[in-house]
Amino acid sequence: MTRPSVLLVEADILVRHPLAEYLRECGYRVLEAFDGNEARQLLSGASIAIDIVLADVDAPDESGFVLAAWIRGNRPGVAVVLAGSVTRAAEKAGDLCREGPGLAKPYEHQQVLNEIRRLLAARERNEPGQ
Amino acid sequence: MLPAPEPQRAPARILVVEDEVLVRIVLADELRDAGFAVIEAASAEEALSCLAAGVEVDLVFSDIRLTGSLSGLDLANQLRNQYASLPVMLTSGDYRSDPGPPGAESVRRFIPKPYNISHLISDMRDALGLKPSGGAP
Repeated sequence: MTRPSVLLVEADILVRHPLAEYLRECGYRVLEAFDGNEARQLLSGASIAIDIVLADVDAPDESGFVLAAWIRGNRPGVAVVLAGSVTRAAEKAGDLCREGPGLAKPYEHQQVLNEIRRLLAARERNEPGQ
Repeated sequence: MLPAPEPQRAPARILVVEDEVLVRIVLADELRDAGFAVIEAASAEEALSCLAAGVEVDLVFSDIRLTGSLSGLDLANQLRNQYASLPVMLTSGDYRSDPGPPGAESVRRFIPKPYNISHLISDMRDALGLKPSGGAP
């Protein structure tokens, strides 16, 4: 069975690396992107399977909101979770992403894992056999 | 009497510094499949902040041409000054042979691009003083 793939978009390596390692230990394939540009390159690769994108709303080159909108238009099958350090931003992220919600930073690893599991389970219900 | 099993050793940790994300993720995947633990940095600045924060690294593998204010050569120079015992391997598609300074230190090796991943892994094992093959790195 193919491992679900998570694309983690986070500019701070000291945040990105521990969370990526945690999710790998939980059994996920994790792709790491520094910013929205790197994320788009990975999402544009037809051969790269990505199930969920977890992005910081404060990415250095563009807002995570912009990336989320691009994903909605170009990779509609990919679920997006946005995370922000400002409560209002996290709430706005929840409004923007169909699947929601926004996560508050700093990341609580278990909360991220719970959200990924919930989204994958929801996809499985909506797309049985996928 | 059977020989005692070798104690489990934590995988060697490779800090990969590469600003081309599609190159970086392929290399990181290959190295993880080979049994290494991999830390992915998109720039020399990220690599230095990682080391400054105390993240344990056994070997640095960096592209020479990087986005940001520091090149891979700049990174190698800083590492030589601050982490003299840390093995550093540099790679580039712009050089056919070792680009020279800071090549004097014994720990640094140059791998021209495109590199063969099997050869690269073998070189990394060699730089880390590991057995050529078999077992976790």
